[in-house]
Amino acid sequence: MKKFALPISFALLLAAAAVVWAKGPGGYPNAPITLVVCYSAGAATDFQARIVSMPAGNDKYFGEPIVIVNKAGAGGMTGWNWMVDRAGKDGLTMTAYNLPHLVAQALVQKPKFTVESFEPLANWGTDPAVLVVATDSPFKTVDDLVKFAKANPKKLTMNGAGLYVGHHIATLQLQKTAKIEVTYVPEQGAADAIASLYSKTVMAGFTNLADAYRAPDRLRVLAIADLKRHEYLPDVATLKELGYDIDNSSVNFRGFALPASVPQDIIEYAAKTVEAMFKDPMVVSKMKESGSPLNVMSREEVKKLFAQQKAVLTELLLTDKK
Amino acid sequence: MLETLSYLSFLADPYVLLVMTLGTLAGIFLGAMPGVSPTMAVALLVPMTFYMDPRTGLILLGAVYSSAVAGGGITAILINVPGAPASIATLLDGYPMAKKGRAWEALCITFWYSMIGGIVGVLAMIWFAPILANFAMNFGPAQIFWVTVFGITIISGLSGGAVIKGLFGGLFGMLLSCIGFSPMLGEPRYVFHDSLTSGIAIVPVLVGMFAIPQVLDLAENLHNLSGENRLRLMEQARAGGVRPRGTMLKIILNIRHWWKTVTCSLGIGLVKSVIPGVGANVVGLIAYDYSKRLSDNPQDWGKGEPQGVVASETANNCTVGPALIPLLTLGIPGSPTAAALLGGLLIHGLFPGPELFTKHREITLTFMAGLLAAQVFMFFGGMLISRYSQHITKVPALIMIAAVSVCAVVGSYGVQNSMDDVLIMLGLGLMTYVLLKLDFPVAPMVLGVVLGPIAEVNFLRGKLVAEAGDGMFQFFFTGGINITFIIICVLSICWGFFVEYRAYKSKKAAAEVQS
Amino acid sequence: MSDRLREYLSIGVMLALVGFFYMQTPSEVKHGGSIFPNALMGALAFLTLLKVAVDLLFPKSRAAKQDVDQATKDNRKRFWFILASIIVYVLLVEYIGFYVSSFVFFFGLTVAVQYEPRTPRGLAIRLASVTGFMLFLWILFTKVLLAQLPKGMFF
Repeated sequence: MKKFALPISFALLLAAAAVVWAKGPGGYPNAPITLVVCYSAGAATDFQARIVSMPAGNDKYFGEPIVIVNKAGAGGMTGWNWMVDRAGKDGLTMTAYNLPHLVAQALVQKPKFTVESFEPLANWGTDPAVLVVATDSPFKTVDDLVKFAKANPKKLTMNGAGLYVGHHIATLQLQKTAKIEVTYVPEQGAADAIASLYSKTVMAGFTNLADAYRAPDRLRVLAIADLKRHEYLPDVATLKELGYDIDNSSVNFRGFALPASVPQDIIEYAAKTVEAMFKDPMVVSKMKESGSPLNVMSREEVKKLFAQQKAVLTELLLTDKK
Repeated sequence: MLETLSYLSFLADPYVLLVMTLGTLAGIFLGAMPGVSPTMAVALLVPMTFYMDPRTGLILLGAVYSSAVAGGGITAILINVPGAPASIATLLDGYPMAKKGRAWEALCITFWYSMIGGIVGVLAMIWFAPILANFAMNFGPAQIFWVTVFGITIISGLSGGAVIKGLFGGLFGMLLSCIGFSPMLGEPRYVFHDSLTSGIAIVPVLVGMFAIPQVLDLAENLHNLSGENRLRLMEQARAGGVRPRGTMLKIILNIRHWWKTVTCSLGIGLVKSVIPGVGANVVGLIAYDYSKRLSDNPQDWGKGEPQGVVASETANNCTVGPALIPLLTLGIPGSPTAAALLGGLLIHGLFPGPELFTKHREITLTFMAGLLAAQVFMFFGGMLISRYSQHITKVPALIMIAAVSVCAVVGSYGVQNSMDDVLIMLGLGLMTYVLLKLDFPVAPMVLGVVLGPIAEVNFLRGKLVAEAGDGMFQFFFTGGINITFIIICVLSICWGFFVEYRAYKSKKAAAEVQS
Repeated sequence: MSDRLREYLSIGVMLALVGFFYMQTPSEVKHGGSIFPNALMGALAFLTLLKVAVDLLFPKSRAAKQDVDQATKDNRKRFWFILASIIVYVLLVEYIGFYVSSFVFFFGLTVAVQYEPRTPRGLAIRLASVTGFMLFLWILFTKVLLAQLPKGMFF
């Protein structure tokens, strides 16, 4: 018997390994997964994506690591165009989506993708847009800002992290409901936008809540563009409370998605795994420590969100242009 | 200061020491690989610091950052391909030195002066952080726009007597950078081939414009580098000694003659590194150009003048410390690498700002002390790696041709997992080869590609703000910094033409004397 | 090639590059997306004119460089062969996979154009070193950096 012990145990080990590997449909994933992040290394999306994809190599989840590839440019379009064009159908190439950027760009610009080109897997975070000015700015309230803009059409400069990103949409909504005209300066990223506020180049701007939360001494937060107040900044009123009818369509949602051409069973499996991964205790604690708001949503919820955003933004952007 | 130094005591912990050594070696190695930039090296390692205590994690990131910047010089010197944009200026004189059998000397200079530059930079960061941060905040779109224009004007010094061709190359590089989506609305421009949809990234440009012409140049001279000729060359090299004794001492003592270059590069490195957006990528070239203008023997530069390497490496490592100032004090990363480092801070719940210097004082000062120590580690690590990597110069030309081609493909593919980048790399490489044959210098073109997007974005940003405010003229042509840079630009261009004219005159005079 | 001819060719290349980009100018780019490239093209055209003027005012010498020796001429064929094989290699990477095509390219090219006589021992050493080099790349990129290099048909 003894001389069989080694081969048998070896075979058992192989079988066990095969079971572990063949968790997903057709043994998926059988190689490291690539996650295409459409923003540069170090940007908020990239940084958070690196945190939430950390546990992927654990056997509880994919059992294969997630490798991040940055394809930055044009507010995300470069990367998403590439996904539609070149990503394989094996489900090994995922992307991180950013709402409302993805929907707004698909509607307004002419990229190669539509909202339906992507199948969302799960959402990891939400980051509402907040209206901020530099601490030494003369604007103390939203009303100050609106009063100035009414008196000086187009003289008020406001910025955000690009065109047709959440910050821009919040600005458009503010213009519409307050009946003002401002000059919107699209910047290359949230950090650049905040730098412009510090250097007095731009008077006010919408920025990520997380960034404003981390800089309490340098930025004055006037309002938040969401339906309810946020736990990080409980003293800041929503724009709605202040009498400006602005909903949550500018809130920045981040999560994973696969191209729609990937087989359905892989999408379903990946969606479940990704959602569980986002709820991993390590992810939860690290996101909290770094001041990045976590909000895990399942595939079904995100799908609903995509549809809802598409309706709202179609109305806001496409009627606005005429 | 003394307080910061007292935190150097962390070096007594063998675990930290080990992490730092490994980080330094990995940083140099990754920095030397064309296709892995310091930014990627740091971004790759940030998740690893999850499992470390904040101090060790930050020390590791600091070590990787500093050494990756210096590591880019190794490939620049040995195979004429810069590992990262920051090392472009290193190859201008580093590779000619290597060709003359002085590779070891060039490598010694790289790491010694990188260390000097790095230490001065970190000390400036520790002493002058608040002043430099305020200075940085004076730079709005108009100022940054003029700084990039200033970057273009140094081309005249990099063109080796062909100012018009150099400027043409620089502006053409900027035009190349326009390919792809427009930065404001994201509409496609100049996409005349499918692979250009995503635009032109910097790594394929570096690899294509330097590696492919280099490969083809070796192929052209293959007969001089193979067979008996090769044996003769090897013989010559051996006669000079591969690693002559006392090289290091000579370099250290040579500061007597090189002090002008060193101070000039340090000054430029410190000032430029805090200007947001411009960063380390071009500072080496600017320092190179200005040191050349100040030197007594500008005609030797570009032909293997050690001071060229000194200028480039002192300046690019000098930026490591100051580039972190806007990040640490205001939370604004001044460079992509600093942005990746921000992740390393956030992960441990350290939010940039005054709190870093009050509540988290201990960690912050340890990080700064660690950065200081990292410069010394970088020197020793670099010398260790150079000992082995300098043997690359002995590889037969034919093998070199094949190996560099393979590395060019893997390097340009690996950045974004994209075949498009490989095709762009090859296309640009072949184009550059033809342009080189016609005496167009390469460095200005790369500079143009790096500066193009910065110039365009800041011009358009400035235009929007100006039109909402006081108007274009007020915005772009008033204010101390604007006017200073405009004057420097004009002087710089005039100087370039003057030098060319003088050279033409003296050449003509010489010809007349002969006939 | 004489200095003067080279300068004339340079002018031709400058004109061609500017002209090519000018023809590619997109018909409609909003939000100032065309200001910068148009300004650049203007500056490039000006530089080209300046170059023409300078070359007319200060003509370069017309003397041709001395003739090339026989060894250089013999090497030309090798040069074109190397250039062609690099292009073919780059174009094929996507279809037959990075590792296979690189191996074939590396080994094939170095054996095909080598000056030294081909001995069995030399070939064996070459084969071993190429394999070692590919192994190094495989460990670094596929195993350590987890990069997904083009797979193609085989590997």
